[in-house]
Amino acid sequence: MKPASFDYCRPATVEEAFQLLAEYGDEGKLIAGGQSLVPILNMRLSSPKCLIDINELQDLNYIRYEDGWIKMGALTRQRDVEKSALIQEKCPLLSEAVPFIGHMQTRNRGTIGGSLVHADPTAELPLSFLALNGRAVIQSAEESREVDLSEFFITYLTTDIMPGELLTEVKFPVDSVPKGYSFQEYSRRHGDFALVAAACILDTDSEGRITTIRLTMGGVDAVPILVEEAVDVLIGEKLTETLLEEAGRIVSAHVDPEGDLHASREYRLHLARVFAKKAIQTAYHRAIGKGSAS
Amino acid sequence: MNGNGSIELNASIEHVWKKLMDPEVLAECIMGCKQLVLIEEGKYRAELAVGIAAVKGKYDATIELVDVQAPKGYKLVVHGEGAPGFVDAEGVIHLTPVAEGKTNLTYSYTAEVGGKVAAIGQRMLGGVAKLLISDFFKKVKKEIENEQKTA
Amino acid sequence: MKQNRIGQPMSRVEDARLTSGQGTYIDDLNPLPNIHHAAILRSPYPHARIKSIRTEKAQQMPGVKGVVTGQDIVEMTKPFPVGVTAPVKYYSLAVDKVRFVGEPVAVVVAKNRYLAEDALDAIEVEYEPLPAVVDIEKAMEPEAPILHEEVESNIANHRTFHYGDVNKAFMEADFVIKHKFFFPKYSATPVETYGVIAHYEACGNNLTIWSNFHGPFTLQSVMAAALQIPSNHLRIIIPKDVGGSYGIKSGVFPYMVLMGVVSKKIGLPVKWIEDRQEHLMASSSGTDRVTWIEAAVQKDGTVTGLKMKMVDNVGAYIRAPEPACLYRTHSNTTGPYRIQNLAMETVAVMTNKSPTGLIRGYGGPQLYFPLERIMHMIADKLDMDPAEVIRRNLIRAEEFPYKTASGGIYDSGDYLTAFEKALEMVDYQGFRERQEKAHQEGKYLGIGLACIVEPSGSNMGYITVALTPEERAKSLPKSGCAEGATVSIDPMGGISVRISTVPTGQGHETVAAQIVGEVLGVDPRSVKVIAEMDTLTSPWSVASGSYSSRFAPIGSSAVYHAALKVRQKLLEIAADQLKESIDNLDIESGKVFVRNNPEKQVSLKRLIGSAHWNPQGLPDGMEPGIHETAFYTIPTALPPDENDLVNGSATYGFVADAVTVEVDPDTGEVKILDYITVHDAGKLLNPLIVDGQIMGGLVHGLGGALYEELAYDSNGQFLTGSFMDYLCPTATEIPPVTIKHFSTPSPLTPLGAKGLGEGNTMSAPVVIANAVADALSPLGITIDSLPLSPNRIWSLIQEAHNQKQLKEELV
Repeated sequence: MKPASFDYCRPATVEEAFQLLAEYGDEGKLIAGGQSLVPILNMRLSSPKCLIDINELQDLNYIRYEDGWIKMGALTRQRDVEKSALIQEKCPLLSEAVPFIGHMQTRNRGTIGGSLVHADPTAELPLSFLALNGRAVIQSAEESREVDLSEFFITYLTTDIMPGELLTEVKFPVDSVPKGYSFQEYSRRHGDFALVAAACILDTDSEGRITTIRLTMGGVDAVPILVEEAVDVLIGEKLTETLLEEAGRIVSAHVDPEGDLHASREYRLHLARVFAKKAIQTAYHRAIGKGSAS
Repeated sequence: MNGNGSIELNASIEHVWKKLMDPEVLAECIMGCKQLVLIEEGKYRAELAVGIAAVKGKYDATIELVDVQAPKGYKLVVHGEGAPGFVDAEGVIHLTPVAEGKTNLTYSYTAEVGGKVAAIGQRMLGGVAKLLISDFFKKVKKEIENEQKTA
Repeated sequence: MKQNRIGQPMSRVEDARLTSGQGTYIDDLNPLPNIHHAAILRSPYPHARIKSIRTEKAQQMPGVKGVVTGQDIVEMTKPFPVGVTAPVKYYSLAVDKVRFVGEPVAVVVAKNRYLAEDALDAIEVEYEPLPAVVDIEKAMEPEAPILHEEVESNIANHRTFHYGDVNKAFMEADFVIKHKFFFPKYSATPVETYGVIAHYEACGNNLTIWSNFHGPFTLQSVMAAALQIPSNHLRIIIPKDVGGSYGIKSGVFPYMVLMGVVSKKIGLPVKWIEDRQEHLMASSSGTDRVTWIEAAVQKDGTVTGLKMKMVDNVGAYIRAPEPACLYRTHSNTTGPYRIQNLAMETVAVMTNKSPTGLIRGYGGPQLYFPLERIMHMIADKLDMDPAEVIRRNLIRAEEFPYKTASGGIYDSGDYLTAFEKALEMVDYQGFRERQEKAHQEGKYLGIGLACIVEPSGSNMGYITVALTPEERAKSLPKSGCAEGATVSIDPMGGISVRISTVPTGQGHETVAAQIVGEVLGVDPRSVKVIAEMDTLTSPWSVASGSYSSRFAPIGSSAVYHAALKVRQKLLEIAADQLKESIDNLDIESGKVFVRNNPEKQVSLKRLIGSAHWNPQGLPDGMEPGIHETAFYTIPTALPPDENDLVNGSATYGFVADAVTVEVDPDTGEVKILDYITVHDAGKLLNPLIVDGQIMGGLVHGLGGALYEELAYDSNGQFLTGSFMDYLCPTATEIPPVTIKHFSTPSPLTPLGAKGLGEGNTMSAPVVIANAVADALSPLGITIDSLPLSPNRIWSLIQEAHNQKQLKEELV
């Protein structure tokens, strides 16, 4: 398991990175944490001509709160997100999700940008950022653009990033962040890829009626899915057993998982329902002040 | 792996058939295919680059058109071998005229993937296969309808 | 200085170097200059004819020194000998055909592994795919694709055995219970993979191979035969540090031969280090098995007879020491139960999966799965407590030594007391009450029990029971479990020990030091044990190596006897110098002294000095120097007789497990609440090492129960080529475990020790299955296959619900 040979460059600035991207075209591949890329190279599933190492670009490593948005540079290490008091305060959903990413050792190296651009259909960060209404900030030598995450993930391992572009930041609004949140994941072992994952944020009024809710599901399609139909039935209502059951049923009807060695399609559909319900229920309990239900 | 699907094409069945039999059109639509070189009646050799995102492998492939029944359909048999392993895919294509200048194309496929990709790609293999095959037919539709527009 | 003696928890001497990165594993070795590196091209097809192989492009690539293919192998080697009569030809590279995904097809040698792998892509192989078969039963059908044309079927070995009066037992039974069980193929995945360095010297026709192979050294003759090289020209050297094996590394031998041939053909020393994908795909594994089992039962739960048909999938090639997988447990087929009427049919079948070999437990997990399941099913059928059914059938303490129906001699044991202890520790009665309450709350709690006999120290004769008595009579009988050891003392008093047990992490250096320290009355930490093995200089025989947990009963005994010889010599020199009878002398703390007059003494240093520096002053007839070798075997390890009775192991331990689980009906997940294991391995030589080994076996068994499987699809494609998909339990999957030791020393071994470490690989799969079956019994679910993944459990629950609904609708 040795990779095919490659050139290696380590740009000191973002501009230099763009130059290298232009020079190598689709034969150049960015490497940051390398936790997904290096195994792929070693297994020779990919043989780019040049590895462009962006670990020097520390300007892209930050977690900030600005004008009601949390902004994270693409090079932010997952472990820093895990330990961030700001994140725990402003969006505890992320704090709950990050420990599910691999293992502590891999989180020391893995970056949030890398996770988003790699776009594994079961990954925790794409799922969570989508639930948080996130946006991707993408730059090229010529311009900067923003994409809503609901449009960013195209299919397996494929995002909206065009040749010559670099994801520089992920951001999401937090001032009106709902009080209720929950991240649920089901996997065979600690640190494994999720069989199914669910992220939910919601808010209620003083009577306990749901005012806002977002539910995203992972591992049930080629990309993380925002399930709007399931939550539509819950708006304006208090969460009852019946409504929760109905929401779960709708989730099952709106996702399209593949079966594989570890989970058949039917089993995944069932798990989607079970964990969507768990996520909604836990988020609801947190919102109405009952603390974690699970 | 297996599956099926269908697409609506805004072209007459004769036009669709002509396009589907055209090796240049097929070369345009089959993933990563540079050109189809005829080696015998209805059989071509090609070099394919199959995969998704950065995970792509080169395969030496043969592509054969069998059970040809003009203009109703045929079976496309693809066999590719490369460092990542081998791919064996069979797609049965069936055309039915729907209305004037409209044709319905239905397809069913079986695919077997072997070697390294099968041994380590189980998590995504089924989904990616489905995606690549539907991509092929989307490209076919584009090829046919673009041509039709300019005709 | 009574510390750190036999039986004491002395901390391991190996640990300092292993935990500070100073171990010497095969990959650390660079014994010669100019070593080149090999990469292997492997088949992507499960079954295909090789029409052509073109290597010209590969040979031109940068840094490439040469390419070897099956053509070379056929010219330069003979097929590996194997202990069956079926004419299967197994070479170290595919010849004309490939028969499993991952089978080696060609080898590239280059300056480094990167360049060698680059060249693999340039080799052009033309395959003609053939239909494949991976299912055991399908492979036995008449229209099945045949893997080896010369064999005419896929059956590599087939025997039947009758002991006692099985027909009578079944005719007189109150009822007969029968069931079919499936056991999956899985591995032991040591952290270190295979490694080989081969160096052929044309002058003198000498081949030296370094590898992390660990025996059994019967395989040395297999390798020499394949290589067509005189056995004393094949030098096999094993480093002292091997990163785990659990039996799997006995399967490195075909690669040792392969690299030997490669070195010979290319004319360079070659190193090959296996990567993890190769290891999962094409190293070795346990067998998958289908068992048809029938029990003749009395209405009080007594089992009077057993019939078992066991069909093992040995993979695409049957290779030595298979079909031992079917016969390793021959002598303890009836487990801890008093069953004297036994009929067995054993079949080894070949399919397009990777070839099998030794693995921790070796046939034990496959045997006890149906046996311990059927005991629970009997209890179900009779509406009895499974604990009572087990109790009724357990061999009693008074019955030892116990001769089993198939010729096994259980040396010692007190099964009932150990079993009762397990029940007490798991609070059996209390759990049953909690279970009932939980069921009313819609929860599924279950308890499983398993009692197994753990054989250790293989008798090499057992493998020949694969042949009929008539076939056996044609060649030399095989028997014994011989092991050798040398204890020597150098002129300055430095004590060294050479062992041939080839440790792979079990701490042999430590225990050997403890034994020698005790016998010679010295601090074990002053004793140097050399664990490296060298077939030209170590004291070894065919049975040497580490497998079947043989260090404790056999390896330690060889060390003990060699140390006793040294002690005897020292005492004789002392007796001569002190002018005392040898019976009055003791040895301790570096001196020999008169027992009743300790002032009269002589230091060991002086005695040793005499032997080296003043040999003329030694007693008449005594040789100079201090260098003693002992070979040890156990008298009860006899060849099988003409009635196929054989005592397959030197010693037999016992394990009683009790496990409680909760099954989540929503996800199908099995959560283990408590794992109690009561262990009897006779005298424990080092309690500190023992618990680690038991935990390792237990977690491996847990892996087999819930996670691990080398999966193939029905076309023979290999699906679990990485640890993403081949799931080993990790630290976070380990349940709360309580280990309780129990000891009925073996009367057969000088130290009373029996082997251990494999027991729980044999008991854990079935005890967990029993617990899950118990938890789900209200739903009428039968558990007869593994692993119990959440998907599988959930599907069984769904099916049960659907059946129930169907029944209700019909009513």
